[in-house]
Amino acid sequence: MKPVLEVSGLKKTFRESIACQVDNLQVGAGERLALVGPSGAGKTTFLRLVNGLEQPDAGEIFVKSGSGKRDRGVMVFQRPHLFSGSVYYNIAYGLKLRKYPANLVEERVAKAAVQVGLEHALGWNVATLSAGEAQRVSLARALAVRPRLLLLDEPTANLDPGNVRVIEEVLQGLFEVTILLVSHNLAQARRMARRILFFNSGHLEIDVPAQDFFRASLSSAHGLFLEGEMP
Amino acid sequence: MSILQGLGDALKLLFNLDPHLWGIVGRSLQVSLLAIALAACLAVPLGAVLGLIRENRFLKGFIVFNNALMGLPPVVAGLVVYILLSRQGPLGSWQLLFTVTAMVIVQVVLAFPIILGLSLSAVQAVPPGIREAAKTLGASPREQVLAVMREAKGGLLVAIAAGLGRVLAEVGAVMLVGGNIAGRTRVMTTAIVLETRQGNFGLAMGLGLILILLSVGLNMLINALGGKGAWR
Repeated sequence: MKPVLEVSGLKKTFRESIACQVDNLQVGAGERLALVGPSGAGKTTFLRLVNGLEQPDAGEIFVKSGSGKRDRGVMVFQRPHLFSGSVYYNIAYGLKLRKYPANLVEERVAKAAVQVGLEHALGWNVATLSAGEAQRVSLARALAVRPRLLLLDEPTANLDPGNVRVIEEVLQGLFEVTILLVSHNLAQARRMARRILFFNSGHLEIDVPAQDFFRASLSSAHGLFLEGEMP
Repeated sequence: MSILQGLGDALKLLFNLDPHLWGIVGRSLQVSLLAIALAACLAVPLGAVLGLIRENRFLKGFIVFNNALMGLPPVVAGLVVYILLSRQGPLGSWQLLFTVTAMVIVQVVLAFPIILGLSLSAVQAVPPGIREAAKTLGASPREQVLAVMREAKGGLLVAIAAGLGRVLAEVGAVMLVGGNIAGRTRVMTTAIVLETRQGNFGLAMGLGLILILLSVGLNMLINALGGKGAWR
């Protein structure tokens, strides 16, 4: 399987403590990974490094996610951070940056809106959306640019079960997209991922298939984490 | 002369399209709108870029300095520009003193720190996540700044409106560097001072009325632009 993401010798420090360290990682096309671990373990920092939102102190990250300099994967944040204006404006934003023709923009926006169940809301002002709807818009604007690498930072945290289900169903249907999902919800990680990355104290400690991750304790920290002894 | 009589004379001058009065109004608009356009072109992008720098001690010092300049007494600004442009001053050879250009320069000096300071605050108030959202969707650094400025649009328009209010109402600085020369550098505020001193309350009140209406009208226009999302 051709890798979409390759990481080697990656290191990022904040105030002299290691925020994220990943010695070696390869992620193939279409793989779905869940990044789990206690709070402050480096999961979000890793996603931000991959996406170029943070610069590493050392190491290399290769993202082969598509065409051109604009494609380094697309990140969906825990908070949607929508642009003021309409739902349409938000979903069309990345497409307009790429200077796609108007008819293609309309077509892609419509399709992404249908994917997240908001085809009826394209003209709505984002200020009127619920938290769940706003997060679905955030997902739709990422999907509209058709990334090969999707970086999801707790996208369903604080959402009601209905919206969680909608978002998970959308993600389950993205067969050709490589997904890295940060989640504090182990049940969700088990549902969504075939491979689990366990971060602890900034280090990528465990990288195993999902069934192995939940079968037995792989390290003392992993055991404590599964038992809910780590926050 | 009673206030009512002065008001009556003022309305007559207004509706009879008195060329003297409307000439002064036109010059005021010419000077202030040109000054505000120049100041905004310089200060808004600079404020936006500085507003995106979140943590920097030099920036904090600069903000304190700029805030001090926001309260700069206009007559002092006028004095400095006067000295620079006077015959013995470093820019004396340009022969700009007592011209409309000198008045525009001093109004830019007065409006720039106000627009810069308020633009910077408006951009700083935009959540950092907006810029990151733009970046992750593929925006270049310039496109990221534009995305943030779009979110700060209301605050940026307020900054320009505040600058415009400052320069439209300004009298001391333009009096110093413009000289209040009839037909050349006389603007509404300086004319109001002169006409009041000469007892021409009708003309003074007419100009005062227009000044108020212009100030309200331009601010309404700016607010309307913000409300309708002119940059969308």
